[in-house]
Amino acid sequence: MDKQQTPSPRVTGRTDEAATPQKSVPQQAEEPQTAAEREEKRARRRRLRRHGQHSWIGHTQNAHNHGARVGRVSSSSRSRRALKHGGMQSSRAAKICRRVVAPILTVAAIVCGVFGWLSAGPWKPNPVATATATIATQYGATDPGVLPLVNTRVAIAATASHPFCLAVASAQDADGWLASTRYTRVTGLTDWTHLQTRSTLLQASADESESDSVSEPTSPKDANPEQPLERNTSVAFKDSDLWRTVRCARSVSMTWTGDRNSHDVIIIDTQTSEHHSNPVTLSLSWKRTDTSNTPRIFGVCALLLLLAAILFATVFSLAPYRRRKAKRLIDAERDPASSEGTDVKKVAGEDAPRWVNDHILSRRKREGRRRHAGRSASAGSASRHEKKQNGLARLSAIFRHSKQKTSVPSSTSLHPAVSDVGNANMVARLQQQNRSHTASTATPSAQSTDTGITQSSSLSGPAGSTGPINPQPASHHPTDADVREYLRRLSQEELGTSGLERDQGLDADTHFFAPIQQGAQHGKTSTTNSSTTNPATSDKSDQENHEDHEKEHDSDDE
Amino acid sequence: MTNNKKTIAHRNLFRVVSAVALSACVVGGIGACGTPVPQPSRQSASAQVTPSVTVEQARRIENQIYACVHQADQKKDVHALQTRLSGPELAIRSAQLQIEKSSKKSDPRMTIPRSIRQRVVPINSDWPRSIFVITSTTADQQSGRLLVFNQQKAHDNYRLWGLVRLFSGIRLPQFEVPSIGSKQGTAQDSGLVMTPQQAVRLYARAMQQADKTIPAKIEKDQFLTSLGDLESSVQKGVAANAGSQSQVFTPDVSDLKIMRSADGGDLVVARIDSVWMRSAGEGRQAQPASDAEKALFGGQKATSSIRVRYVNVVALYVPPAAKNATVRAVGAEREPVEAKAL
Repeated sequence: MDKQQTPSPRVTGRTDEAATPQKSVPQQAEEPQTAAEREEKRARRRRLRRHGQHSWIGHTQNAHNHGARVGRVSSSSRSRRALKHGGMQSSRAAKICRRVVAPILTVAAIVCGVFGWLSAGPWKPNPVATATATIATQYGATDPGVLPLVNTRVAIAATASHPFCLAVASAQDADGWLASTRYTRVTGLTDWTHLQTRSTLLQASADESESDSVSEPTSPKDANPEQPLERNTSVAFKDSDLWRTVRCARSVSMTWTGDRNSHDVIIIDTQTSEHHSNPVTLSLSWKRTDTSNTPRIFGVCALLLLLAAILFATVFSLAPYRRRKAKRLIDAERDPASSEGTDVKKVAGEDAPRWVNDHILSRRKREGRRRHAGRSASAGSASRHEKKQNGLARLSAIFRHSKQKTSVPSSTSLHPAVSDVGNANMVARLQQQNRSHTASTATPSAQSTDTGITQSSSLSGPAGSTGPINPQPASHHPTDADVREYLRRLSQEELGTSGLERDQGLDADTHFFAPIQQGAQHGKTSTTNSSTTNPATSDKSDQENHEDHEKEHDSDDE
Repeated sequence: MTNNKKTIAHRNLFRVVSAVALSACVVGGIGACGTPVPQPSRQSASAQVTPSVTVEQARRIENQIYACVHQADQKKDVHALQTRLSGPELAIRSAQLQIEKSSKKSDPRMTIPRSIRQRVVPINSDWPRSIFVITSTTADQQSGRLLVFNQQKAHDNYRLWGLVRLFSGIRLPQFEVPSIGSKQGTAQDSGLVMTPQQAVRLYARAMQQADKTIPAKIEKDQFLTSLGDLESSVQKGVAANAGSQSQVFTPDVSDLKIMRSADGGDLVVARIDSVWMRSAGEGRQAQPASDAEKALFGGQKATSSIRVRYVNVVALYVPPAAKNATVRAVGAEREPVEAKAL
């Protein structure tokens, strides 16, 4: 939109992006304070309070570019409507997020947390699993694999009203003992507190029956009846050589330790007879090794749900436009110098070379100036190139009344002017700086082709790139005071780094942009006095440039 | 306006309640899952290949047997042997005790050293089970003993079934360590020079022909040599008296204690009974030929014939089938158990 060139009476304008400052602006006082202007001022203050933006350039342009503000009015109201419409839709989604989803997630997180706490506390499973069973038959035995069922270490405890015997043996030894006997088998766990039992009759193996028949040694032809016969009666349970360990009492407790593949079993002789029954209560206790993950799972779920709830309640429920960073912060980042009263620091860092700092500063200034020059409300529609051109044109128009270069002045510097700090010629630079500053304020830096060192190019390169400074363009109506103020601020901004000033031997108080008619010469003179002799190579170009500028000044001065 | 607010409030309440209910259902569903109980792995007991007894169990068995033997030795009580002895050793030891009692002389062959040099533990799951124990040499430098503990059935205990004195300087085959266990052999084991049953029979024949040529597959050992010398001398004496003598060796092949060695051979411990009939000439009396026989004979009236029963226990090593492999005895024991005048 080409609003910046159209002169029109100043009217109240509103735009979110080009909020204007309300700080002291002397030039305002000189204008007729109409009611509209007062209204505008109030509106601006309100905007400022809301957005907190300060831009002296914007304000200055407000002072000069009435038309821009007009254009801005229409565009801004359009943008507001557009934003509102889009914001309506997004705010509905935000509402849903905030009012429906977030509470659900919060409640779910709380419930998870509660369950996790319960699982870890009151509902925590017993770390020791004790399972019991009662053996009523004469013999009872566990199956192989039952002893190391839960853990490789088990505490065995058995009690009965009468003495009984409990032995630990291998599974085959127990089977041999229990052959042809009905006994109670402990096969496993029904649950964590009960052992599973079964009544079984173990068939005798064939070898057993054969060995019984040959229990007597085959006697030779003439059997000797006097030969002492061995006793072939069965040994008592507790005397058997089969058991690894055997205990006989009314209450037996022992600990068994082995590996998971062990075939050891417990065999119990309850010594039940026809006269009395002696049921034995057997209990096996293991320390449970399966750590319950339930509390952990619940805790993790609760945290995740809580995080999601927080996200939904805050980030997702924001309207899209609100999610964007506050404009004033963005502007502050891009153009800190445009804020009133802010000191331009070494934005590139302490160790960065001067030209980097200069470049950043000039770029910021450029972008800020272009923005405040009346860019369209839909940000980002203009390309950078266009912006540069617009800003350049505006600036040229401000300071040059005859020459208006709307195109990119590429004639003067066709190559990027690389400044090698090591090879810098301070004297030459000073001279050039004087000339360049008298000729134009920031137009050299607006050379779009020179993406590198714009500030130094204005100092070391050909200074007369864009023509003389015209502080009184015919198209604009700045007063001398305005111009002075403007230039003063410009000088402060451009040469904001203390090092730069020092290197150039410039005094911060020195005004390069003294009254244009005479100021250029004076400024130049005052600065060249402090510089050393120029090298011969740059003398000629300096002289030429100087002459050119002088000519232009002369032409302008009329 | 109020209605609107109420509606909103109701809606909010409904939302909250539904959220809580849904969450509780889901979370409770997850939490209701309990840990399942573990199940024992179903493995048959016969798949076990661990030794039948642990070393501690073996030591306990030895201690009990030694205690029994020692007690019987002290009291010279034959009946005390019956709790922990069986087989040929029961017969031999009973006779030895009897001899000791009557002759009032202790038999050094009855000494059983307490220190164990090697245990050979079986790994099979059936009965009868045998444990071979090799002792060290005795205090008086007698050679070590090979003890055979036998458990006939599950309801029985291990008993000292056989005891042989190892030949001096003999090299025994290698066996697996007790933590691994060795397999028990059978009478019909193949892959050897001959089956254990054949080896025992052959050795019995060799004993029969001790004073003559012994079968080729049997290696001549000191036991056979001494047996041959004994027979020769007795034969000479009997022949001088115009008498006769004969000894018949009968192996008990149904009750062999066999343990497989690590090199694939079999160590066979067998009982070979022998009956020695000696007849004196006309008008002569057949007398006991040794102190032991004399002790056993006791106060019987000597007649022209005497029958002495011997129990021989031999330990044979049957090597794996190979060229020029022979069966050799590693130890033997011979004891008269009865002497009777006929």
